[in-house]
Amino acid sequence: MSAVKGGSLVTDMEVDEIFDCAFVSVSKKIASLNLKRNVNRDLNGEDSYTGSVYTKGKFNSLVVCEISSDVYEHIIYVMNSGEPASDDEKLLYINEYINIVCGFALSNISNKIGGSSKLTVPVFLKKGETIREKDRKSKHIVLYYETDIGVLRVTVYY
Amino acid sequence: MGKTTIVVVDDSPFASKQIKDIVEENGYEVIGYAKNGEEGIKMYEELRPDIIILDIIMPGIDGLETAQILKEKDPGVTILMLSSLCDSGTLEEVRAIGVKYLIPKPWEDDVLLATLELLKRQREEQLAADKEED
Repeated sequence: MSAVKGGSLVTDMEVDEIFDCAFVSVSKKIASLNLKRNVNRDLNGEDSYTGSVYTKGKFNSLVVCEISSDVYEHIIYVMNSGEPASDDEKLLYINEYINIVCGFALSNISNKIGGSSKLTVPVFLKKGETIREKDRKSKHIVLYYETDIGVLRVTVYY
Repeated sequence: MGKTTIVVVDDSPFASKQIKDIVEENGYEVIGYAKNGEEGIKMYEELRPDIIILDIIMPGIDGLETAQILKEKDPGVTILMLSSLCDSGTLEEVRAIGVKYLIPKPWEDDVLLATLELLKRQREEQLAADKEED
């Protein structure tokens, strides 16, 4: 029902709403991406990139973002003002995207529960690499979004 | 008087580029970029910019620790912090180091420029006061 190390509570619905608001509003602002929430589906067969970031402190979580390749390229294209980027630069742009969205959400959670948490530097998983089993906590929410060009799925384990 | 000089310390090329575009259109000069705290400290000592813009979440030493080190080396250093983390706890940490301003990412350009203008004015007043004392 709720999750926080000591102190005030944050409900599952609030975690869902806060991350949803962060992804929808920040994606529009920095990547001109209109995310439409839909029911969760598998990304089976879809070429995608997976990035993850931890939050540590009062609110401990692992946020995993699976981004279909067209959406991945679009985010980088917009953030880099339409200029080409090398593969290494692309990762930096996507990391910044994840950092800004998750930081926005985490700040709202921190203000709500009255305690601070830190965000780690985002890490991208290589092809075939998966999230470690021990990082998959029992409770999680899934945010699945469609856009005109592809999909984005976010799982928050907390 | 020359342009106010700035060093940007941020691991993101997106942030560095956005900052350069907006501040250079408005009379500031970005004289250096650093991708992490260690580089930022070194660059500050070499270039002595008027203002240092510092991200918090970076690989290696983070922005809070970098600000602390810079303040110890030069208590007069003018720092503006930027971060996606802008909750009240983080703001308290920033203020405890002696940095007055933390701007949230994604930022509004007018907020960034107004804060830079404020820092520039405060810095000029401080320099004038120091000169009078001498």
